[in-house]
Amino acid sequence: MSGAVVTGIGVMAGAAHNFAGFVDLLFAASPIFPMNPNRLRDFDPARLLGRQGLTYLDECSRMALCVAAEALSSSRIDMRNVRDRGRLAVVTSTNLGVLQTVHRAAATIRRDGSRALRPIDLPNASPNVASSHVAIRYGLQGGNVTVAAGFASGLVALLQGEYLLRSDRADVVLVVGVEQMSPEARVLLDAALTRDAECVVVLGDGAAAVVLERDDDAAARGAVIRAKILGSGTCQGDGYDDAPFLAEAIMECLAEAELDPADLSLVLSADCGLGAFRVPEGRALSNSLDRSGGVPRAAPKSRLGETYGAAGVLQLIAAIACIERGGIFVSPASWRDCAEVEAAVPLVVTQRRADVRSALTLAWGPREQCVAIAVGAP
Amino acid sequence: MPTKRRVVVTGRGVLTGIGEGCQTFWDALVSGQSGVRRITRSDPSRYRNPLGCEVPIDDPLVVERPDLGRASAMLLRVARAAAQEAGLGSAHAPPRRRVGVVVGSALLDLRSAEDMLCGEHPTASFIDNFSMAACVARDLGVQGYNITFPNACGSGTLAVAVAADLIAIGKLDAVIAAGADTYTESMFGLADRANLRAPRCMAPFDRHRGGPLLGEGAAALILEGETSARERRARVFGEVTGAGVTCDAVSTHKTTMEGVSAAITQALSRSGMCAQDIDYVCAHGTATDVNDVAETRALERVLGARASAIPVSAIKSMLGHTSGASGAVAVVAALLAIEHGIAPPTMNLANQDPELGLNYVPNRAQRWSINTALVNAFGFGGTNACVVLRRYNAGAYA
Repeated sequence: MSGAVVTGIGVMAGAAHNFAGFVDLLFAASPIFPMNPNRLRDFDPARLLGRQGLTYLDECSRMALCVAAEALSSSRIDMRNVRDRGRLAVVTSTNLGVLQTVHRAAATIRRDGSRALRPIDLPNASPNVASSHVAIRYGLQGGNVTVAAGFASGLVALLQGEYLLRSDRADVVLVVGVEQMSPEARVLLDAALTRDAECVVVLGDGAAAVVLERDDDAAARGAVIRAKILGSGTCQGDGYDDAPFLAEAIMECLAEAELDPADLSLVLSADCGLGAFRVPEGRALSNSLDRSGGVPRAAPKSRLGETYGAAGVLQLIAAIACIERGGIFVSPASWRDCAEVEAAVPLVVTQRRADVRSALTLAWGPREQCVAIAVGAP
Repeated sequence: MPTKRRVVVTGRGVLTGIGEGCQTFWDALVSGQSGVRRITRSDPSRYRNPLGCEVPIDDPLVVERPDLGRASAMLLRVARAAAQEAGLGSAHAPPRRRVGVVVGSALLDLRSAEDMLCGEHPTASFIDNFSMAACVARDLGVQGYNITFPNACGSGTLAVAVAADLIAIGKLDAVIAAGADTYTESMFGLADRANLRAPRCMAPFDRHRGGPLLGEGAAALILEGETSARERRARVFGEVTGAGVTCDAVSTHKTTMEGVSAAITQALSRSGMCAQDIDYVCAHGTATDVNDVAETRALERVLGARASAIPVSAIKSMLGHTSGASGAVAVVAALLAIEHGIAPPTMNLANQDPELGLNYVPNRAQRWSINTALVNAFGFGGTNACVVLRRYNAGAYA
């Protein structure tokens, strides 16, 4: 057992600008599956944060600040009276956050030379700029860490947050996942994802944040615990067939969480609608979760789009939404897998109530690290 | 909880503008060689100051891996060298599920993304370039936890700090900890635009210092639990005793004395050491007005009188600012300084800033008895990561 718990949540995706909106989005009676790209709608950071200091911030930084505000506020940590800010840290997952700035600057240099650049863009060309703005605004002095690990990035950031707690580098870790599907990001992701694919992936803006603490610390301050991190597993694939490595990550996670597959309430899939993801994941799940009746499976990306660096944190929050709501949201029937996989992990295609006590969230990408995190009800 | 398992270094790889491999690199360092030259990997006419410190190898792995960006290729090159030195592929090495990879890279392979988005050389594999640690893991066949930190110029020491933590908490038995960077056109151009001066060399701690010259490079270390290293009788090059990781949380681009002090203090505390234990400092030393003052004041504050009694060298004066690689390169340099009992020089230090009063080892290497070294690295966003290294003594400190 990891001993880490979630005490605060902030989230933005599609039309949802907070956790309540996100739950409504997931559990809408008539689900609307998103168009490509699934942009964040009516996003007005000034309304949430005030206008001061926003002028020169890139969009990812603004999104990160908004979800950080909601997560810290919902954790009820009294930020004005924190005794040692050196015990507060931030870990941010983003792969593409600076692409717009980087592309704009590179294009300007190639056209007009460096004299045409704006010096103000200098820090904005550093991939850790979003995390830095969060650390600065909220005075998080215990470490400001950015993670870029591709599709697994969000779950890797959560693991890194947990390791900061375990290695006594922090008492509170704000874990943020943020990605903006700028035109540049779409060019690169489309090129990467559609190489071998049969269809276009829906890409989505997303930002999500959770506050992690040790369970005894959270209990001592009387925090409301939203979920427990039960365990995790990772395994690096060989780049050819990821299924056995994902299965190994899943089994390591269940072992660390001391969870029998029979006790698992839900699997949150990393499927983004491509066979290149669905097929290996289906095989890994059916090989590692041998349970009669199957473990219900849901695909958050069918509702949110592929949010890349934000996806892992969004999936964790989707799991918490299912736990708190007492139900499993609907995924499109067209995302069903083959009969063998559906028998082991049936995709939930009609809305239903369920007592979700534990959920397994997955993140991986072709040739990348496979990550599984188990989360449980408090 | 603070480090319990001792963490040692059993392999090293390094590639910079002044040399590749520990021996060549060390010879260049102690003789004060300069890697500064007119850049060739971008059109120099696009910049006011076209000087940088490029690695004089055209394509580090081009025949074998044409799909990789340059930073990833340099990374693989040093990781392979370090793994070979450590014997990671041998029968007695830790099982591959227990070997991880932690990479720091300030700019990832964004240079490939620039080229692709600007319509040039759209060959590099995008997915590989944003999972540099996974790229190393696949190449070396290791399957433990891996992570990549684009944490600005503190990335390399952060990688070492996190790698040591992962071993200390028992998550892994060995970790390939590395830093690698090549400059992006955007960062090179923005630094060129923001710097009012156009320095011909890097002169940290000099009265007329003009800021950094960007370079490229990579370094990798094999960190291993002492028990594992001992059991397989691996050669040990030094010990990572502790690290400090803090954030200024003040400015996106200015380092503060308070944040740096906190990182050094934490590194000492987690090492179970005090100021008197430090014999040498491999400084961040970026030759900017703000950074050099903040670092010096922090050393004075934390080390007290000891600060002016020990050598403090800035190796960027020779190999340029290699961004996220710089911390890992500095760890390799500090291990070599411990091994040889020599503090490398700070070159181009003709007129030491009278406000900065430490022994910066001006222009000539100094013989020194070095058992412990402090390595500093700081970056955009107020990120600070400091590492303490010690000469390995199997029987001591238990």
